[in-house]
Amino acid sequence: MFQKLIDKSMRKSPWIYHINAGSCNGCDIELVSVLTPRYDAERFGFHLTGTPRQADIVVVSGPITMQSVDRLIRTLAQVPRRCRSRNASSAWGPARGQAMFSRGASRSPGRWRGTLMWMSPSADARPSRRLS
Amino acid sequence: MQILIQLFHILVFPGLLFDVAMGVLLMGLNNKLVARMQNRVGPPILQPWYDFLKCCGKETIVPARAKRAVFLGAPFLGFVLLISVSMFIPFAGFVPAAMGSDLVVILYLLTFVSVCEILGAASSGSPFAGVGLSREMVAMISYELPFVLVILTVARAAGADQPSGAVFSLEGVLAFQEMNGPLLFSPAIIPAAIAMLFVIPCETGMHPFDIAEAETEICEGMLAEYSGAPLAMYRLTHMVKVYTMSSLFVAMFLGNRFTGIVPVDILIGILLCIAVMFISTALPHAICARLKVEQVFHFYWTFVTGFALAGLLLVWAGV
Repeated sequence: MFQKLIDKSMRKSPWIYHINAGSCNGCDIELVSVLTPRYDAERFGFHLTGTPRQADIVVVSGPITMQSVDRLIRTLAQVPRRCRSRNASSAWGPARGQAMFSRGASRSPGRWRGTLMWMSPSADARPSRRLS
Repeated sequence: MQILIQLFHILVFPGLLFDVAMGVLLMGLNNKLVARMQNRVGPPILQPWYDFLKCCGKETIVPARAKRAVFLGAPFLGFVLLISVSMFIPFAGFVPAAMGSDLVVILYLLTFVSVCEILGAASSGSPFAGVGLSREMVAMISYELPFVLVILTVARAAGADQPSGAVFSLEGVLAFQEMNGPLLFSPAIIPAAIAMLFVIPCETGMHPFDIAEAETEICEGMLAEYSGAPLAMYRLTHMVKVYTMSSLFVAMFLGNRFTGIVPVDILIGILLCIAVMFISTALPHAICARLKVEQVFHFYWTFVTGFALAGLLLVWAGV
């Protein structure tokens, strides 16, 4: 029963950590505007944390430049996993342990200029292994 | 039977369980009220509880440079200390530790709750936590002085006709208020009450005064390395602290037994706690952006200390 409560709370309180990997700042402005009173993402429990240790979702904006790739991997490795649970897959649904890409407004050919969202992976997927 | 009743008081009402429930309620209402004042919908009232449970279900990472025992133990010790503070504060006439409800003990234990946070942050080995804990110390220096002055004022106001000249027992303060009406009704003590209303948000680290956990400047400050269950404990401590401080305000300035009927008293006590929370934490949160470190220090050592000192002088002069 306790596990069920925790799974429910996981859906209710997604905390975001935002990292800029060479973005043009357009995606960052869009992300921040979602958290403003007009769109008020806080009503769904979203909360912008300042440290990857407390994050459930890491939002990476930008094409991931050569200089930022090492820092990005180190940051993603700091994100805590969920504790192992019997129904881990049901808690995160389709986004579990996989990267979701969305293309930004200014996409030049052959290069990603968009926002990559990294949902907190479950116990069997390490971020560092995924990216490297 | 006596032991069972005592255990009920310590664990359920007005002890552990009631503290946690009230902490969640006050924090959730605080977020909701701030959101409504900013023309938002706001998170559900139970949002702090969801956050707490979610943090419990996450992995606890101990950094390689951290002192493991202190890093993991400090949040739990802080929570236990805070619960023991709330044992000394009567609610609706109930007090689990009736023998020692002393204002000075409450002051010391509340300081130790902050000291536990500082210990945990210092043992984490993160430079952000280092900046955060130095800011927390500045905040402590800022609010402790007016807090002590307010306690002296209340002790004097309640014990002016005693042979010792002051009553430092919270039970004595409540007994005085039961005989002569709430202390807040006497005009001389109003400056001290205003100072106490400003002490509450800084003591609980609420928004305009949350310099120690400035998430946009110093990466959550003292909580920079915390994740999982210890983080959940920290957040629970913050919630319960809001309730402890507002119930302390209610006990010191408004009294405990309003009608003599227990359920009505409990209801009035909860409503008064919500009112104190609204005035002291929700309003400044909605009005004011986060202050700088030196602004907090300056504000507390001039305006708030000035109010507290004025209250102390008025009460000791016997106005």
